[in-house]
Amino acid sequence: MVAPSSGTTQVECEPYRHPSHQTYRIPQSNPSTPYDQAEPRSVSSQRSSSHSRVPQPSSSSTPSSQPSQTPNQFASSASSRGTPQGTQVTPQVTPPTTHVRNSSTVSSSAPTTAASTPVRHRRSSSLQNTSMAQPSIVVLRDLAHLAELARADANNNGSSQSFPRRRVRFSDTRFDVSQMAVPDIIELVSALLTKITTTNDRNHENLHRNMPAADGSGNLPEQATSVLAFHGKNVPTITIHSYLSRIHRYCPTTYEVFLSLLVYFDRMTERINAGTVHQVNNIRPATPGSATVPPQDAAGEHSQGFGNFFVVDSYNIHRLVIAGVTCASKFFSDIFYTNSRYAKASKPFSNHSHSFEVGGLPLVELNHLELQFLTLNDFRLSIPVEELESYGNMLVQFYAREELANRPDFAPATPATE
Amino acid sequence: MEKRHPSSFQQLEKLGEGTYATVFKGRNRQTGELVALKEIHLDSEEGTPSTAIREISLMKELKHENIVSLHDVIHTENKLMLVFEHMDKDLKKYMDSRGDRGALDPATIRSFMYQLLCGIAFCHENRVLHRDLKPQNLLINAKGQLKLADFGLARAFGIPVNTFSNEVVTLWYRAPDVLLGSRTYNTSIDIWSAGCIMAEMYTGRPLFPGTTNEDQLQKIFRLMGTPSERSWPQISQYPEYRNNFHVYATQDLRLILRQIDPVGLDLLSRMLQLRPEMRISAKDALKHAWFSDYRKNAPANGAIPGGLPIPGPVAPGIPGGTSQLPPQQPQPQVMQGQPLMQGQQQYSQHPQQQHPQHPQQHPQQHPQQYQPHYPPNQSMAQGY
Repeated sequence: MVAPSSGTTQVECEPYRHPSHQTYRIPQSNPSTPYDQAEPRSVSSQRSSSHSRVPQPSSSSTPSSQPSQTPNQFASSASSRGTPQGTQVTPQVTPPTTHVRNSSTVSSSAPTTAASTPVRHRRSSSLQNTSMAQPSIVVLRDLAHLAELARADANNNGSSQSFPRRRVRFSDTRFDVSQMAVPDIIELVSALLTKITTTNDRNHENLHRNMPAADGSGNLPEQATSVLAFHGKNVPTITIHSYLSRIHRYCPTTYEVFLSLLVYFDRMTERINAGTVHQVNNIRPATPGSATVPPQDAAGEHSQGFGNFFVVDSYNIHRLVIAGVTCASKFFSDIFYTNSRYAKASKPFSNHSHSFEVGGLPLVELNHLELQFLTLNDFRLSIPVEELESYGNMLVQFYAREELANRPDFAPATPATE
Repeated sequence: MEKRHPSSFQQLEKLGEGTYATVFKGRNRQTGELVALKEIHLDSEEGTPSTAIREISLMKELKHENIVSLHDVIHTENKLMLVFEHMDKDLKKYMDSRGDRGALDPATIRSFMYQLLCGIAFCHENRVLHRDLKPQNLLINAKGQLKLADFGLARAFGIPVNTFSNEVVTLWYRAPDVLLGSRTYNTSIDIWSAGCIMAEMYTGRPLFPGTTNEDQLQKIFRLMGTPSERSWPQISQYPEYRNNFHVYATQDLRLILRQIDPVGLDLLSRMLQLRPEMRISAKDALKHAWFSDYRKNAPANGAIPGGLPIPGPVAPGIPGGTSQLPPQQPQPQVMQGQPLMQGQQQYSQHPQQQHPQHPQQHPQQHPQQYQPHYPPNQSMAQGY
């Protein structure tokens, strides 16, 4: 694991805990925090430090629809001005682009504009914190490029401070994934979703056991019914990666459709759990320190008090994915497909799960899920470009930290060879 | 989550009907407020139409006086109901009701153009392309306010590596670069449409009433002059560029727009630039000298001083905001089975002109290269 960078403050992470109702959510860009420390902690934790950069399920956070008003993450991540918003990676103002291509060496942070800088519609840089060094932006070509940079960074760190390389740390670099091929994006997205679901599966066993039956939910609020629509009785055997790949094979689309899933899942989690927490607090007086997180047994009560009622886990991820891709394609792309085609794309998932008749996710179910997905997102599918870019960067940071670093061939201790 | 129910609104007369959407005038039972109710049928093959998803998502973010307001979305399992603010009529109807063969007076034109550009500028600032600006999609209320409507073809822009469909914008208002096959167009396509609309307000007739893509280009070149590599570098790179375009000389716009003043003509010519990069932006257009009075006197939001009276024929209870076409009216076809929009009934003064609809592709095609799913007469429900 890389050491904390000079630009940020080391988090005094508390030991890993397993509260049963936390939601694993997409880590913020925080490459120096090891995974176990990056476990989300409940907001109610009395020990929660204001310096925490650990993602937190924050029901009290501001809506993400105002990205430009949030502080620059690079400038403020240490002090966490503004509520850390779980996976709501703070949108960042993009500094002048340092466009690095065909090179494994990240150039210095001095803003240079390469001739090949792609034309972007960027917001003005009024929010830039000029006291901070501007992170350089690296346009990633593919996964090999990513691995190369991550390995070089790890090697650089392994060789201590006495070997100053004029290179920007991986964690301080902003990565642009827009040029990567869609299968690469799918690899990144599925790695993160797999991590999220496996972690949440572990942490939310209670939730599954006590999940009210979707069909017998006459008394549930509409939102709860919407959530339950995604919850399968069984975990489909097809991996998330295979599933996303299959969807892309049958219904090719563009990278932002897959990237946007992360944004939508986050927003849903935010909205739903904020809403249910509100209900809980109306039902029982909030105890100190638990203003935003309900008591742990809340999920066990059927029709009220869901706590972190909505978590992305192995039971719902496939349905969330197919509904999300369907909606996002229709919103983002001038090329999209009918729901009957998307339903066919999901065939193996339903076959293997044995929860449906052989023949795939029924079209009527996909239609229903699509509408529930829209409802749970308040029909707001717009994503500011900066927010999408932040998610792309966060995804790269996650992948380098979580996936590459654990590979046997990824040896940070060996000297740099490039 | 949804507090409201379809029964919260009293359904009044039908304002328009299409395959995917039917628009009714409605009244909020609690407040008595008039609204427009756009009912979208949820097709089982297609699911929720992309037009609905885009329209709702984008209009929820675009709150501006010159953009029709989406109050609410009510959904049931087989339909979506969008609740919009009520507007009296669309610009096409407004022009037809003005008497002078559809032409408007210069003061009204200036006011409408100012508001139109305010609405466009707001969309573009928020990185949304409307992509279907035409008189039928501009709604007018009794206060003389003009608002952009029908964001079903709109889309967000700014995300890198995105190709756009060139099957956008109703033919008559489609920019030459789009007609030439551009898939990398930008905000300037909305400006071209605005220029066409401005000219139409002066004459009462569409400026370029083409029947096909080729005919549309020819009508444009006949007036604006046929471009060449010299006047438009790289034009030959466009997919639809032909060496054998008939060469026309540039004509003076004053010949067909006799009432236009020189300052207005200057603005118009900046909007109707063939080359997209030469077209004025909405923001800059609002700073044009033609609008100097508005900047001095009017609030920055584009409201019109004093407002404009709705002409006589509009009386309370008369359906406004959308065009109406009896379902039994035959649907003449223009090109390759492409449907007409209902708008042609508005063009009784020049019935030879047919109003083309967006090209439609067969829904069963897979993959669909941009399948806007525009129903043959969707635009009947337009205005909203």
